[in-house]
Amino acid sequence: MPQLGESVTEGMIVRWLKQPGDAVEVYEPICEVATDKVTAEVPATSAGVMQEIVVNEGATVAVGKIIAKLEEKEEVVKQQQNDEQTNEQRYSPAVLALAKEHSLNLSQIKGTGAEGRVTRKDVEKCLTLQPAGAFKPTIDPDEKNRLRTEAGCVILEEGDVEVALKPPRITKADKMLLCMQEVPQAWTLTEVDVTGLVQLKDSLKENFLQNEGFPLTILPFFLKAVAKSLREYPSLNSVWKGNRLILKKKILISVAVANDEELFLPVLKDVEEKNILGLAKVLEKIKRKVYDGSYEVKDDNSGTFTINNTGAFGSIISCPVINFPQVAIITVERIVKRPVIVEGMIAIRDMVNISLAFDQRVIEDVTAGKFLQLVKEHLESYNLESTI
Amino acid sequence: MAKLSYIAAIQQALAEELERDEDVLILGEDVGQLGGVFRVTEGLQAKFGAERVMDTPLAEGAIIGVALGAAAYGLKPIAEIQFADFIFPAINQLISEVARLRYRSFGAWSCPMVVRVPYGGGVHGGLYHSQCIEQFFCGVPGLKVVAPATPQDAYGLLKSAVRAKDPVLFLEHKKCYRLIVDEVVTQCEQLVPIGKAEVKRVGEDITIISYGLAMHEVVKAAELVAEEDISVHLLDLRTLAPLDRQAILDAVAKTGKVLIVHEDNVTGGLGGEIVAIIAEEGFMFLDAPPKRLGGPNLPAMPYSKPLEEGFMLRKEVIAEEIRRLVRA
Repeated sequence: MPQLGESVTEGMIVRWLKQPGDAVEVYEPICEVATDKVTAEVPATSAGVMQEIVVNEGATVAVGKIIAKLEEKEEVVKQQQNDEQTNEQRYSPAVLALAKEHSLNLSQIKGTGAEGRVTRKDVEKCLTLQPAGAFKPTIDPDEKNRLRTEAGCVILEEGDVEVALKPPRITKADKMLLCMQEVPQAWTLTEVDVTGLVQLKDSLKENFLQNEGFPLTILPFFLKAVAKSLREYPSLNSVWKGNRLILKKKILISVAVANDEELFLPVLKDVEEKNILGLAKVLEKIKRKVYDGSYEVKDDNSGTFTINNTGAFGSIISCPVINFPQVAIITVERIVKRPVIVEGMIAIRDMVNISLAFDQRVIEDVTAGKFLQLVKEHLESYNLESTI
Repeated sequence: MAKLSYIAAIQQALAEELERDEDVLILGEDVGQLGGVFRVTEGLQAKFGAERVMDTPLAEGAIIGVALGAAAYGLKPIAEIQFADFIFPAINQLISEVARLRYRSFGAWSCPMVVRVPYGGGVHGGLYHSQCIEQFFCGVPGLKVVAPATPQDAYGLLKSAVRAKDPVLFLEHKKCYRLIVDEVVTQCEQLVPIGKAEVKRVGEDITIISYGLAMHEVVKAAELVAEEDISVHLLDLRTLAPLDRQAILDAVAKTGKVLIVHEDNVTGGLGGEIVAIIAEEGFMFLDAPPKRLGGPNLPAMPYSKPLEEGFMLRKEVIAEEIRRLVRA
C-alpha cells in the first residue's frame, strides 16, 4: 500500500484493475485505492505479470503492507525463453535474404529443419508454390525513398507552408501507394432508385430523432444491403494473406469515418444480425468518438470489406482505392432528385450512385457486376411498409 | 584417350615435359636409376639421361637448394621429396628462399620450379610416411600449392606447374597413385589452369568442398546418400593456394549448406581459411553453420590398421555429417 498523502496511514482497495495472470506495464494502474484524502490509481512499480492479489476489494490495510505480488518482467522473459526452445523464430542469413527479396512473411512458412527451423529449401518451395500474379511488391524501398527525395526538390517560396508528415500519415501514405502499385483495380458503377428508401427514412425521421437523439441516415440501410449481398458473393469478402487468398467466413465491414484531421476505418461486426436501429446506434457511437477525438484504433485491420459514404461530402461519383489486404471497396454517393423515365413517363425520383472497386486478380467482372446488382435490389426493395 | 592410373598420368606428363623442353630436369632421392620409390620416374633416366633425371643424396635441403639455383640459372627443375614427411629439412629453403626470390629481387630473379611431394595416409605408412603437410605451406605467399585428385587433373596441373613462372608445390596423394584410374586425354595442350577449382558433382541439398583422396571418399558418401534422395554439390579445389574464392562462393550459394572435408588436421587446416572466406564474403548465402571434417588433432598417423582407418575419413562418417547438415 503506497503512501498516498502526507498524513495518510491506511488505504482501502476500491477495485482491482488487474487480475492474476494479467501482463502489466511499468506505471500501469493495477488498482484503485481510497483514502480519507484521495481516491487514486496505484501504478505498477515494474513491468511483469500479476501473480497474486493479497488484499481483496473493500479491505483496508496500513501503508507499506503488501497488497499484491507481481512477477518481474525479466523472470517472465526468461521463463518464456525456456518455454520456447525451438528454432521457429531463428532464421539463417540465406532465408532472411530470400524473404527480403520476395517480401515474404516468414512466420507463415512451415519449417522442416532442425526444431522447426525454416530452411532455405522451405522458402524456395514456398516461392515455387506462389500462384501467378500473387502479391509481390515491385518497387524496392530504396527506390521509393529516392523518388521521395526527388519529389522533395521543390523550391519553397514565401508564404508556402511545409507540413511535416507524422508517422500515422506516412504509414497510410505507404499503404495507399502499395495498394495502387500492387493491386490491379477495376471500377464499376451503378445507379440505384432509392425513392422508397428515402420515403421510409423521411417517415421515420422525426420519431427517430426524438427517441434516439440523433438523425437516421441512409448508411445503416446501405450496410445491411452490402452485408446481405456479400453472403451471396463470398469472393468479395476475402483478404490476402501473404501469397494466399483467404475467403473470410465472418463479414467484418470497415466503415470510413473521418474528422477534420484523420480518416479511420472502424470495423463493424455482426452487421447481418443487427437491425437498422442497432446499426444506426453503433455507427452513431463511433462517429461521436471520431468527431471528439476519443476514438481509439483497436482492431481496424480486421475488416474484410470496406464501405465509404462519399455522398456525405457531396460526391456523386468516386473511384475508391481498395483497402489492402481486402479485395473490394464500395462507395455510396450523394442522393439526388433526378427526372427519370418510369413506365414510359418522366418521374422525379431519388437517385444514388454506388461505385465498386475490386481486385481483378481474384474477382471476375461478371461477379462484381452481379454483386452490385444485388446491393441495388436490396436498396430498391425498401418502401413505406418496411420495418427497421 | 586412354585409361590411366593417377601415377601413370603423372609419369606421362613428366615424360612429355622432358620431351618438350630441354631445360626441364628431374632431381630427387632414387628418382634416376630406381625410377623413384613409387616408380613415378621409371624409365625416364634411361630415356633422357642422368644429367636430366638425377639422383641426389638424402638431403632435402640440398635438393631444394640445388633446384633453386638451377631455376635461377634458367632451367626448369622438378624436384621430388620422396615422402612429404621429409620436407621439413627443406622448409627454410622453400619458405625463405624459393617462395621469396621474385619478391626479394623486385622481379629481377624468379624461381620457376616444381616440388613434387607424395603425401597423405591410408597406405599403412605410419608416422613418417603418411602426413598431410599442406597447412604448413598454404599460407606462404609466393608459393603455389596444387593437390589434384584425378588422373586428368594430375596430368594437366603438372604440365601447368612445369610451365609456371614461379614455384609450385605439387602434392600427389600416395593412395591415389594406383587406386584412382580414369580416362585421361594426353599429348594435348589443354592444360588444367592453376588456381581454378572444379565442380565434380552437381547437387541441390548440400555443398561439399574437398580435395585429394578425401574428394574420392566424398564421392562415395554422396553415392550413399543419393539413395536417400540427398544430392551433393561437390567442389574439388585442385589448387589450395591461391584458393579459387569465386568458385567457393558460387558453390556455397548453390545450396546454402557447406561441409569442408580434408585429410589434413581440422585445426589449422585449410578448412578454417575456407570458412573464413565464406563468412566474410558469402555470409548471406548460408542456411546453416558451415562444418569442417578432417583429421583428428593427433601428432601423426597411427601405424595400427584399425587406428589408421579411424584416423582417415571414411565415407560413412562423411555421409552421417551430410545427413545432419541436410536436416539442419
